[in-house]
Amino acid sequence: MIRICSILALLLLTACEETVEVVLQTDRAYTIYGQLSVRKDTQAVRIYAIDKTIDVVRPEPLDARVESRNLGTGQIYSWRDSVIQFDKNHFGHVFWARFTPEYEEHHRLEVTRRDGMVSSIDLHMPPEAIPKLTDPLIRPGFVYLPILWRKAPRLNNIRVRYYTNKGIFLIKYPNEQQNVESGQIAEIMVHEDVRQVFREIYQAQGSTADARLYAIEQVVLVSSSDWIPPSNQFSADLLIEPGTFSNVKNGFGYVGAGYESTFYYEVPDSVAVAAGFSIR
Amino acid sequence: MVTAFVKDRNKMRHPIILLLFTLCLADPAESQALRGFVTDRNTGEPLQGVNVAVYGIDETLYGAATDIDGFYLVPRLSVGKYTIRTTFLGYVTHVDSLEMYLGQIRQLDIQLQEDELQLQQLVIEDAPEGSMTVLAAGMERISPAAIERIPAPDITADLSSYLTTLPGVILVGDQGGQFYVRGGEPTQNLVLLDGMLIYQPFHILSYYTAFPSEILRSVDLYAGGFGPQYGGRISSVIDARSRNGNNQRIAATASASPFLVGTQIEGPLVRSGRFSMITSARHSVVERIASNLISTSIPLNFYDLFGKIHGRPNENGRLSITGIRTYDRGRVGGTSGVGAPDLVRWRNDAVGGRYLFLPGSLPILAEFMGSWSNHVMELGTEQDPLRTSSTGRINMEANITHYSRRGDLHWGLFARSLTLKSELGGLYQDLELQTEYVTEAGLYAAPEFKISSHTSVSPGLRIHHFPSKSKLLLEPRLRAKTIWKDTEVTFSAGVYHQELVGISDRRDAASVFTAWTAAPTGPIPRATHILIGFRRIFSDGITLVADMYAKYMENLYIAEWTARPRLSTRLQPADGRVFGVDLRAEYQRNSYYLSLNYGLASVEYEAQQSELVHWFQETTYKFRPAHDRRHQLNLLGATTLHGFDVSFRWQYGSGRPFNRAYGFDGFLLMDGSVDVFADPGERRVVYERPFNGILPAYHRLDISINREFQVGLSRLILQVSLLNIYDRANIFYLDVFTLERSDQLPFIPSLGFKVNLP
Repeated sequence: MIRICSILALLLLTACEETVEVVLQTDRAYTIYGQLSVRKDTQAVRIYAIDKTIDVVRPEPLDARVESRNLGTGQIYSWRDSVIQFDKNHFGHVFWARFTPEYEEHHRLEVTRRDGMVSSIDLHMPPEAIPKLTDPLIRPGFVYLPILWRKAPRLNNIRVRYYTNKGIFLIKYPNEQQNVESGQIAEIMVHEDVRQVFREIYQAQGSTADARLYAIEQVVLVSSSDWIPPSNQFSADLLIEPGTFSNVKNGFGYVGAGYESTFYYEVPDSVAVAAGFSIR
Repeated sequence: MVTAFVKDRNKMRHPIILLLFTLCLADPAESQALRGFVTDRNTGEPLQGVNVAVYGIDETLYGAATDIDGFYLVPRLSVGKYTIRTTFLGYVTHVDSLEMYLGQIRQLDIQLQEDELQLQQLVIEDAPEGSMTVLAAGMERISPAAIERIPAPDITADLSSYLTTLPGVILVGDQGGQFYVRGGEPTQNLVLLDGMLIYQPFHILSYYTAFPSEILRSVDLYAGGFGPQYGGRISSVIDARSRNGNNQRIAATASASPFLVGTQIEGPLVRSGRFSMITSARHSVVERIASNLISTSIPLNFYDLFGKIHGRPNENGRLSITGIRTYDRGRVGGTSGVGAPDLVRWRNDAVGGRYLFLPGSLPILAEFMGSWSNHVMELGTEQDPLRTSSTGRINMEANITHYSRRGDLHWGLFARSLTLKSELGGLYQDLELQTEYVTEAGLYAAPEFKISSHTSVSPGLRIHHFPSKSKLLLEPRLRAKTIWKDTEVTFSAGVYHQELVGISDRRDAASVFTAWTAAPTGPIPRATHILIGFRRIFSDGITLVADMYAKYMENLYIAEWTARPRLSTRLQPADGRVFGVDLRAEYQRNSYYLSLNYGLASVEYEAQQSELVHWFQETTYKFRPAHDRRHQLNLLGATTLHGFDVSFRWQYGSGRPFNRAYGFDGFLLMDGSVDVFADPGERRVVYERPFNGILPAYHRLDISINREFQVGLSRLILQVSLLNIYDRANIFYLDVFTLERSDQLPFIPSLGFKVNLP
């Protein structure tokens, strides 16, 4: 009888519900995305708290105090929260501050939670890069324009605009560049780009006759040297895994230092003809 | 001749040569043969495992045992007079005599009469062999008697309840109808009912299989190492055969419980008893009655309809036509977003015909089967389903058995045509709308060599050709059995492929929706099984069984690892390996039955994904999938006390792996073009390493008590069942996104009845 009672008691005890720790404790406080730019008078970053549930971000104030400090001068900037509504139930917290960093300055951005947890990023603003066309190769059907961005530690988001009499066409380039002692060389493969340009002209106007090329403009994001993703590819499927591409201490995300710059090239007739355009 | 073949078998590289060779063995001019069907006199049902002993005048003994159709064949008899003695436990021994003439293949159908006295003794002292475990290297023959012993929520026993007592079989919850066998996925199981493929063999309430157990005659479960007559799946086979229906008298049953109401009618179609039929219909009432009983919503609804006609169109043939329809609807498991669990529906339809033919001049049994199976699954509302998948299959096959004294030869041919349609809304490998047509054809051969009275070996080969995809698959198989010092030792091994794969998001294990497609990215999933089993029956009613197994799986398709919240999944290749041992001890004596099953298993997947090296600094990652239950224990007991049939079952399963998270944040692709004011980004899960968490253990105690009453000509059976007696909160599904846990059913008392007429 005692044995049976013991078994029953054991069974009743085991009937208790066991709790499961689904979401673990983490010492990482925030996920931060954004960019500091010497060409803007207002700097902004998007901040996510690392939440315990997947519910969409709420408009309530975020438990975050954001400051940045110029590590050279010691000047401190306080950042303010602004709530952006993307759709009915989807909000984002964008913190911003009015100041313009200078070239080659060091800044530290800190996001502090009420309980003292801090996520931080150290940013090194890139120097002013000076673009220059170097050693172009031009012959009929082949136009290759290498642009040297002197002093640029890294180029991202490389695009080329073609200004024609039929409109302006934008070609997006992969982030391929040649690292040389004096900077980065980003090439423009005009003879390859014109195929797409002509295709778009043809689709819009039904003919490419009398298409004239006036100018070519290369647009880049001159970036700090650490703004390089794994495999040099900005692939969402790859980078979505937390920590894969991050410079945030005690947090996730990436905040870059960079600015947009352009190289404008007025196309001589000889180059336009070599690329396949008309000149009259 | 057989010996010569064994010695030279390496030279026989082509199966056709092997077939022709064995056909020569069975040359009818060489010998006479006796064959026939053994049936129960009262019901006309075939009796399996009956010993048919043929004694010559010089007391020379020849013998055969009946197969699942009650068929036996004693080959190569000499001309002369014989006495036939047919014995089967629980039946009156049948004795007959006859004379065999030159070249004669004689048919002798035998009807056995139940022995009431012997049956009573059986109940008191022992049970027939048919109710004991028959297990050999992954193969288990499950009898209706074994199924009835298991406590179930319903008065009508169900195969599902039995399967959950097996250590290698895992149902991740009592909802969803997903079962895993020895490390394999649900879509890797081949489930056949009378040769018809049943795509979704469990109802949405996992207590029930898609077909009632009352219609079943026998079920063969191959947890691995199955022979070459089966193919197209890489994990397991459940081959269920239904009864033919009583061909002597009309019988009917009706049953009701808080979960299910059902009825079954069987009887002769014509007075001669040459044709019989059996029908069954069941409908769930769980949503209306059981939900109220426990004050917990169980939003599940299902039904099944079954019908079969069986007959003897001539002395040399047996014909049966079977049809089944099942329907399920309910909300199960996780969600496709934040909100209520997914509404899922599915339907199985299948119709099949089977003709057993005994050629007049050959000692062979020929089986011709044709079937059509269709499966439709939908996720979302009926008006606007999010995803749909439908699969149709037409199957034609012939299975031939040649009988010889030194072993039989089984061989067969098959041809199939499949239509696969799915609308997946861009999920699963970015598939949107897809229609595929696949044809298959092939053949197999499995000679069985009786090396000695204790040892037999059956090598086999299956050749599976996909003309529409220009693929030819070779699958060698081997089964062997020997008796060594009172211990039966069995071995099986084989190579298996699965060209048609079911793709599902298994990251949470509770996902039910499955879409069928041809191997989506090229390589065909393949598995290699190796099993060895030991079984020893002691004289004092104790049986001990040990079954060890290893499965190596290649080219599996699993959901790609991603930090995106669920279902935005693509597939990635993976390999898997499964090791395990199942131990079983059974005691059966007088009216007591006790069984203890323990299973130790380890399942590990190794996934390949190009991004892994950047995420985890490894080119592959190994993990335990969500169905890797390391330890499983089942204690089962049954007895009769003062006229009450009492049975209990206690189940224990160690915790399964699940994905834990550190939290949830957002993701913006920082490629230099992002405007943090305008880009909404997307939500993201900050996971720990895949499947690093372990859920709490599962355990439950069920008891059922039955009492039978005679009411006039009818029998009334009342059942009280108590499920999950100590109200254990067993986790079914844990929503890592909302932190909501969904438990399996709580303590449920149930009262059911069944009436057998007459």
